[in-house]
Amino acid sequence: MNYTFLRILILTGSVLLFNSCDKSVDQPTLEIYEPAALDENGGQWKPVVLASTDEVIVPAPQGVESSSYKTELQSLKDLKVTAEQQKTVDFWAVGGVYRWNEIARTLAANYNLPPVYDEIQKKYPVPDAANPKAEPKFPFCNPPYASRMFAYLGVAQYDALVAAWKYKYQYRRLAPSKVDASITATSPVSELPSYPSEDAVVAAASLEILKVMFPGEVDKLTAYYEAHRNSRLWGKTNVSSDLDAGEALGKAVAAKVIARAKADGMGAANNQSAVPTMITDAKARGLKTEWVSLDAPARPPMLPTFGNVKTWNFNEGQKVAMRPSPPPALGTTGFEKDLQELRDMGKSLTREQHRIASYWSDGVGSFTPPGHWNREAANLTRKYKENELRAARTMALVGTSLMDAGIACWDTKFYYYTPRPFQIDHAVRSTIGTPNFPSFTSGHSTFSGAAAIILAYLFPNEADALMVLANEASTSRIYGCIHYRSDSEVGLIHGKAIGEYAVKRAQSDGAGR
Amino acid sequence: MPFFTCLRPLRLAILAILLFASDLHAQTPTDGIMMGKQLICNVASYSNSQWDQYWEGTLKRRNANLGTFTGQNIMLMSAYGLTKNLNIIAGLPYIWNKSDGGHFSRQQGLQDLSIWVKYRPLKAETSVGTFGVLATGGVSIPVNTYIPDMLPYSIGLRSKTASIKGILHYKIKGIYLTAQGGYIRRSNINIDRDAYQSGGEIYNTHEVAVPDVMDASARLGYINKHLQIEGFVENMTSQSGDDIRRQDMPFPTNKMDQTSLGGMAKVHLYLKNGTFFSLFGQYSQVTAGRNVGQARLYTLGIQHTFHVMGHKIVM
Repeated sequence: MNYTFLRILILTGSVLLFNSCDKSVDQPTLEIYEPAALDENGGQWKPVVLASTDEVIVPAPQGVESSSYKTELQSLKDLKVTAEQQKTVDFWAVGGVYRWNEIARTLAANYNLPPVYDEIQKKYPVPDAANPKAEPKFPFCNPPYASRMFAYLGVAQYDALVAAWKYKYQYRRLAPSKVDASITATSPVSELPSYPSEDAVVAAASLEILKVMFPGEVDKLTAYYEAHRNSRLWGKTNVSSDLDAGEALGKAVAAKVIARAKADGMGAANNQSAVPTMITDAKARGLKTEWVSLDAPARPPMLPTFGNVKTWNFNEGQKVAMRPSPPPALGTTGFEKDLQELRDMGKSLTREQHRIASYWSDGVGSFTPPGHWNREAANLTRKYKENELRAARTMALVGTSLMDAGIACWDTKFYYYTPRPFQIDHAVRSTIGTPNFPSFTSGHSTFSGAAAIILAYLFPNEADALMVLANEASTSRIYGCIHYRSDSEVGLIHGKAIGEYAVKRAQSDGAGR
Repeated sequence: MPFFTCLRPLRLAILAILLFASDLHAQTPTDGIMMGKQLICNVASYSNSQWDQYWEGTLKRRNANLGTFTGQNIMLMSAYGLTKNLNIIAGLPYIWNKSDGGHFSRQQGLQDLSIWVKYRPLKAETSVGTFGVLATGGVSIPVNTYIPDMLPYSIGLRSKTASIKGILHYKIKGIYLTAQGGYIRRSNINIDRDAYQSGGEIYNTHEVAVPDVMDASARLGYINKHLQIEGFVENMTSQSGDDIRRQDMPFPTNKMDQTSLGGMAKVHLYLKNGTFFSLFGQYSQVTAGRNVGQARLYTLGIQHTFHVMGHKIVM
């Protein structure tokens, strides 16, 4: 008997311990695809920041019969590509726009950590852009910051690619493997002219934007840039002059986009001295109890004047006109009903409701709600095999819509300055963490409405699924007990109105759907 | 002295799963003593652990948004002596976790069912004392869909585990010394989110790798017919994992390590029907750690031991 059990013991132990030693985590594989279309007229699409693609000049390339071009071809032929280099080729062949947005999401998550209270100074330190690596690291990539970062990344990629497409079809120099049949590219090559290189354009524009947004990550970003650029040589899909021209173009466009960023009012978005007046004004409009920070010690509200930052797809007057009507006032029946729902949630929350709350939590340490929708958008660009230009357009439209949502939502939050549920009743406890800014309206709902509407326009087959996602994201904040139902419902409607302005831009940019 | 210690192996299994999550039984791992053949013991215990400081990576800190964290549990456990050298043990805890700071909701529920087999291949009684060599193997599985992605409030990590341990035991004139070392294999888990950050990377999946753990302990004690007392030191070291980032929440990928010191006392009350009850209490304190709370933990328990055929237990 002893031995039987011993054998079972040893056998079971061995199987469990040694047979399941694989701790690797499976992630979705990203197939390399050939774009569904080339969008040959993309050079005529309307950029976002550039008034016209004439603002940037790309000089004519050397002809395919020139000796300098032939030298470039020869150097491609002479290349011996290692297995490691081929991995880099395959990594970037997934899509430059996709990969740089992925990098941006990773950085967003890595920087989405609030400053730690300084016990000696007795205050929360403010991250310093001039000293980004010191604690607290710059930036604190909170949802408004992330929305802006993704927006500028998308716009720079898009504007630079519109210009790239213009010059590609103006000069029509084909890919090396199309010019010389003895060259075999190791990633897909289309009839898209290769001068200037769209990859170099995206890499350079992205590098410049992300260096501004994450100044402590210059080394890492530069390494990504080098890898992306080199991947085009190692894959034999571009010659050096394609890349040089692309780099110059990407940088030139990025400079113009960064100039817009420097002047958009973000520098004044953390104006804490405006807060007392905001509260006074909100009270004059009927607010009974103003929001207070639930952090301990109390933390100044997150970017209270972000609502004044310059929007993309509508103007100041339109922003004010869209601003939601006030929520049910404290003490009214409507308010009590909303609050009671949250009190009950503590007892009635199902596992499925928690799953939804957690799935959309996008809290501290995550890539934020704008990052969540950035990923949705990026995945759709792949699902529909969009070329780099069209993918960038998708990301720019979603990015600007998300930043507009952030601005308009913050404007609303600090206009009404309403308290979070936990502030009114400590019995309402959250499973996902309460953000540090006023309650009405729900940021997640606004972001989700704005992103879902523009994505539904761009991907009509996905419209129903996107609305389900947006509704779920909005409701998740009620399940998480950090928002009243009115915050979420009104926020979602507000977000959709914001998204419609992105649709207007999309309808008039010359790209078709 | 065939029976006193059926509580131990199980606690280790649970500790391995919890650490930051609940660290309910920061106490003795598998000991050197076996249950006699056909003896059953049933145990009910209550544990309470508290901490108001924790290690964020290697940085020890307080956090007013957490305040004082309290983890409590009631554990039910049974052990049975298949033979005097082969015991089987099973147990299941119900856990409550909460803190008095911040605004997170408490978490509670049944956690993981553990089953252990304990085998003693060697016992040698010599003129210079009794030597024992023991080995245990165990598995644990979550019994419900509790939330692992809400640390430190989560009642567990939802990992399935398998573990093996080796134990050396020496006793002379009631004084004993036990040394134990083990390895706990933990399966990957799935969380509700499908994107999370770990080690500076984003993982676009529900699946999360949970570090394996090595544990070791040494305990010195005295045991006789009526009581047992001991002091111990324990260490648990994750074999991989990342640190909690500055001002971030803990996460199941974290490298959770800790060393604790503690003591235990147990008394036995014999009944006329040949069965007996034991009352025990234990206290321990985490003295060093990484990505865990600096918990003080006490446990109170009662166990009832009897022969499955109704025979009187002869001391």
